[in-house]
Amino acid sequence: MGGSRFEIRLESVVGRYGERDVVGPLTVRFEGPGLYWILGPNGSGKSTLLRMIAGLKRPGSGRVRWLCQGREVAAARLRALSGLAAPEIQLYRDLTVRENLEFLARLRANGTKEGVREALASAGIEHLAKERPMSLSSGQRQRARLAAAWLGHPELLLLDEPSSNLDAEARDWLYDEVRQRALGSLCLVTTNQRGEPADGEPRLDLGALSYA
Amino acid sequence: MSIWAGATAVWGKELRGEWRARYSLGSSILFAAVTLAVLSFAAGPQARRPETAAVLLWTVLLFSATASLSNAFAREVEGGTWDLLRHAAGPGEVLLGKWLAGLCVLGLVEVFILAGGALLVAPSVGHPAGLAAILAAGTMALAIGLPLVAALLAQARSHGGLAAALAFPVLVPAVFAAVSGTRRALEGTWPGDELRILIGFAAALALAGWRLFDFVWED
Amino acid sequence: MKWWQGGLFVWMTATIVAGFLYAPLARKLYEYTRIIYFHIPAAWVSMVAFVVAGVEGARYLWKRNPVNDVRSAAAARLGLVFCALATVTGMLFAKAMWGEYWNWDPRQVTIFFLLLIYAAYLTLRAAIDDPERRARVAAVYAILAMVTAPFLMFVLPRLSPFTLHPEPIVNGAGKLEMHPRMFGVFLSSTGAFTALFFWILSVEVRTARARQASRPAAPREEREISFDRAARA
Repeated sequence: MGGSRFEIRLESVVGRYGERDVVGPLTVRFEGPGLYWILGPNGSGKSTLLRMIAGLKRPGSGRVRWLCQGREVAAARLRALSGLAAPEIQLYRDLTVRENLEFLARLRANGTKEGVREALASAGIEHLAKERPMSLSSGQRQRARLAAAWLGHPELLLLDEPSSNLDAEARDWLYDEVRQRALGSLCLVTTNQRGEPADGEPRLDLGALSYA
Repeated sequence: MSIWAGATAVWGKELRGEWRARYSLGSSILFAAVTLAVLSFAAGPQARRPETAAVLLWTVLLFSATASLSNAFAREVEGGTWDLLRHAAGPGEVLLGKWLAGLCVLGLVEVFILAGGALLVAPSVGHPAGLAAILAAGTMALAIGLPLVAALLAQARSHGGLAAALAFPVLVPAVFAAVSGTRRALEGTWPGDELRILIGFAAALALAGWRLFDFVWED
Repeated sequence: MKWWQGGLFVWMTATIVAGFLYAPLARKLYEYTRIIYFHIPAAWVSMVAFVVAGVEGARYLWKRNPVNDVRSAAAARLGLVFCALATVTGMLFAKAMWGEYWNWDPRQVTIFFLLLIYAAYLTLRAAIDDPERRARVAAVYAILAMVTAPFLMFVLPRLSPFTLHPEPIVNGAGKLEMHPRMFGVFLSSTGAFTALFFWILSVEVRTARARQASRPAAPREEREISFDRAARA
């Protein structure tokens, strides 16, 4: 396998909302490149775990470490190295799809106009680049989120229930695309569909962990 | 990437969104028009006096600014773009970009208010340069303070009614100095003391806000 | 009752009695002099509480210890009460001395806006459900308010140096112009009010801690996960 070594280490990490622990304490290491699945029913803490890995949520206790080629990655650099797609994340409704991606590329400093075109093309929505997100169908909006996530070929790709709003054919396309990207990046995908991971693909099943 | 580059990206995005949707500009100009008309009607000929005109100007500006800038972050949260922004940008870039965008929006609203004021009230301006300086400094203070309060508000539920309650006590020193300085400028005196207070206040708020925003940014 | 609580009770009682029977009347204030022993200490405590709320908020942001947030919120609640007392007693004095409850005296304005800041802080806290977020956001607001307060209290009055407030203690000449017995009772009252504030603050903190302790979180066992290397190849 090629690709740079991106690693995530969770050390006794707890995801907490208010006084309620929703996930953890968990110690786990994800080593890239490769694809990992995070499984579990609704409420098992999949999204919370992914948000902590993305740096969007502070762990209630413990810590998350990001390493690239063995060296710690600071939060500011993580922005340029990672992409995230989640159902609650929307694109700016007053910008076109292309303008949204160009804005993100400028912020993350990891994309060019050509990169934006390529991200849109790989998501199958290049023909919708001049449309605003609210004029797209839910499936097309999901593709736009995915394009924003894998813009610039990030080292770390985080996808929270990416197959939501996609039909069966689109789902097959999505996971082919993700598996291809996992050859060069570390990809973490959450799902509540047990049938989605292929045999042999490593999985963290939060639903199977009991904390009683 | 430098903070400035990220901030200009946020600035540009804000202005572009504002131009297309006019959510802040439209509501604040309308608000300013109504407030200006009502207050100048109520004050009558007294409105031309420097002390009354100064109060009128800053009352309209303060309320219009609150109407336009207090949603700067709530819009992101409600629109689902808050996490998109937090994942892609750093806190400094976003705050600086919002400050710059707020200053532009306020500047436009102010032009409208001044034009309306010149028409409806028409006070005589003794020291135009002093008035311009006070307006610039006061606007800067509002443009720095209001987005900070807006960031706090975005974390609360039902933020609509809280904007004025949170913002006004914090911005009172700036408003008082701006009113006093405007009165003196209209009377024909250079408002040196008030300018120093406004600039010092804006600087203190900017420094504190810059450091504290990290804590609002995190989840 | 602990010994020092009894002591505070005696101290407060003695101060009130001394204010009426021991301290002389000021020349131009007559019986209205008595208000000095309640109004000024209440105003003083409201500012002390403001500083405590801000400092504890800063400590929370630094250490993330929930006790600091509890102290900050408790100080703000108490500060609101003392600030309201100071405002009302000041208004009564203003009515008696100058014929109007409100004169836009700079000090009146300062205490009124301090009241608004307290109210805003507590309203903000009430509008946030998540405890950690509430603590963080409230702390930021308290610190921002602390940054603006010096402008309100010390800088702005320079724009309007005229004040109706008598200035026997804090005045431009830097001289103490208060009778020694009056000053003694005034200091005693200020001390008693301050001690009362810190005592009630400690009670509030202990109550909050007891409430937290009665809801122990169920311990969760740590899980360590490792992935089969063969599965990843």
